[in-house]
Amino acid sequence: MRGAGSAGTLTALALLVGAGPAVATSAAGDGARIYRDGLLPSGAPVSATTLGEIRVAGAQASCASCHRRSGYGSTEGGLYAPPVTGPSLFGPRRLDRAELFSRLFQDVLPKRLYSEARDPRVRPAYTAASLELALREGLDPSGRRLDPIMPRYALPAPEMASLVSYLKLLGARDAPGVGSETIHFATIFAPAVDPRRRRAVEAVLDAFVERKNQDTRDLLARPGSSPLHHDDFRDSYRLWQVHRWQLDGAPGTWRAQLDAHYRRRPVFAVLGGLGTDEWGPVHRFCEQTELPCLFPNVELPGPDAGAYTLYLSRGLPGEAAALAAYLRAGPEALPAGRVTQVFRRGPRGEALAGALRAGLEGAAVELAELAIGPRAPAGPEIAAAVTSRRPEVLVLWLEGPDLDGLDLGSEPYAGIGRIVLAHGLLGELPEIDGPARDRIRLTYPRALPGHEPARLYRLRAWLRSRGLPADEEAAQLHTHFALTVTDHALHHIVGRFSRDFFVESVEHETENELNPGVFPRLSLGPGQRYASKGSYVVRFVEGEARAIEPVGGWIVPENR
Amino acid sequence: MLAAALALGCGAPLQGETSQAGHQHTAAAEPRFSRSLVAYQVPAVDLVDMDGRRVGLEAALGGPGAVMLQFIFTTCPGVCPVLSAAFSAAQEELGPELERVRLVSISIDPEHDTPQRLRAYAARYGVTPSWRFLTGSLDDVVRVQKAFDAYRGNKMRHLPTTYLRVAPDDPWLRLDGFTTGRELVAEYRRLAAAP
Repeated sequence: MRGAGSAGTLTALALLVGAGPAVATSAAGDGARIYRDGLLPSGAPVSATTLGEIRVAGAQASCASCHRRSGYGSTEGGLYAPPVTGPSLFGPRRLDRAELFSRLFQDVLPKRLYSEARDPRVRPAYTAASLELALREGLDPSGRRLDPIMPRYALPAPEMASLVSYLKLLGARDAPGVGSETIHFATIFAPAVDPRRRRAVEAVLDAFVERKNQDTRDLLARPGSSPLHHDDFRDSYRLWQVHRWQLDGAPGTWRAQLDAHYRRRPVFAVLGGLGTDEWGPVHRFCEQTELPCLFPNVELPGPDAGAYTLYLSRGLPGEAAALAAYLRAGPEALPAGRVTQVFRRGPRGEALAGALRAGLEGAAVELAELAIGPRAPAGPEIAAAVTSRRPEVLVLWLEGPDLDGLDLGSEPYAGIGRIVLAHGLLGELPEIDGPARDRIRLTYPRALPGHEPARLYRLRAWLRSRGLPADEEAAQLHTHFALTVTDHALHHIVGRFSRDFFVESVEHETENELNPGVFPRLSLGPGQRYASKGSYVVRFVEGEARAIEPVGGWIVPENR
Repeated sequence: MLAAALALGCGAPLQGETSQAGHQHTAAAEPRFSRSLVAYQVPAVDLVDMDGRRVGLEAALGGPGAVMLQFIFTTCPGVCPVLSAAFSAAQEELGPELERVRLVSISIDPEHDTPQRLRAYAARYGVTPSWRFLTGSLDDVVRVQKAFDAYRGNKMRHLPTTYLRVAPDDPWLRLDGFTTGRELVAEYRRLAAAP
């Protein structure tokens, strides 16, 4: 077993590289930039030739483009990019069923790759000199020609040396958080999370992990009994331990708490978790620690896209962005007109208002805004604003209690064509009667009732059969999803405990029919960080309480 | 759909396919791509172009002139950059003939590949007005992939395929595998010269 010590050289190195070219001083740092971004230390793009004549440069010519950031390669439909980690290049190729597992049994390969996978070849270990020959001329140490799709690189000697020293480090040791018997995970709870919600989510965690570990113990207890070739994978099995990291106090203090938790017990990844309004410090901790953080239950995702934090959706800002796209070009688009948005000051209201504002920028819509103080009564201010401005569309970024205080059927609201609410703020479908009902629109980023992915029904049965009340169903389903995707991804990486490889596997698995049913579909891909990408705008069905129907189709907003 | 396939030279060595084109892990020269002529029914769906305009697929692929078609996605790690680089090279290789050829790249990851992202991707390959990128609703894009026998469920399983047609009522020449721009243009010229 390779060591599972503290944060390795690679992590430290990657931090340097991630911080920008100015600090990438070491040879391996230069190599990392060539490998990941296809950029020379001078900032000029790396250039290469593929298929004998097609020139590729920069990101397209980067090693990571095919062999991925992890170096463990990829099998993409018609293309097999073998591993190029230090141990795999600088050791002779082993014929190992666990290593070949995904190609043999999990991937769908065209005929040529299918037969190649079943006819694997050995080769001697690369040396720095033979690796250089492979990169320049496409010859491997056994004298075979590499596939013509592998680019031939014209790298100057010092850069070639930098790349080789980076490749020697790549994947050279297991990530922290993995012992010989146990793999450690954490789940993070923000302060002031509703205790009932936390209990509901923890019950799912406990039930899943207990069953998972029981299965693993059963397999390990029976060496030699090897249905489905389980014995070949014994070395990759680990018992799961999910640590609970409870944050306290102001968000400004969270980073120190997270660092302390991590120092006490390094974990391989963070799974699920519950946030309230603020998630930025957790996001930044995960990115800077290069720690995969999968699918936290948050309405306001972190400040920017990163490499390690994967979200279920864009949350509330995603709903507002979808509304902007709807007002610009949806079936009820306003080519021009007056829109008023009302929000409570605070992170949620401001995030929604900001996203709608950004989404409508440049549109021929006059947008007015009314920001209400955290404790001020909403009704009188809104009525006054509506009376004076007479908007065609009134967007009420308000929660249930505020809405309950408005009589949307009464006079100042009677002339408004559309009144828009956000499902994410209400948490459930509101009950609205009276004359305003047919003018209400609701951003609805979820699967439409009755059209949920079928797995929802299986997971509901899973919850029931374990005696778990589905009182926080969405958070429970998402927690189950984070655990299942992790299980599948670990199955794919077969003991090669690289966090980058893990994230690459999760990107792939997310699209594979594991959608627990809250969102209509989930998918990720290289560099994609939000699994559900859009929202519906819905209205109430006439004559049926709480029944909704979409106005137009699923809206995927542009990233403005 | 496949029943309608007029199997023609599928897997047969191509003219101009030298041992150079066959360099594989295996020492033996074998063709890098295979050809078949297939009559596909273009589905009546509306897609969306790089400027966010709705485009009927039948109109985008129909009309006079030749069409080259590929399925790609902008975050695709290995396959699509090579497919798109071949289109990019084919644009140059065609020279003045480019006026009579339309290149169409359809995203198979439409939820991520918004018109804005397609524009950014296209800019990397030096697109001319003859080359369009299309996206759309996921359901419509799945229909189109199924119609061209290109749907593989997970986008990471997609195969490198290029479709070529010189006139609207012709069957499609389907090229499975990686091609260079020069090879694409050679295929086009051969097809255009056929009686």
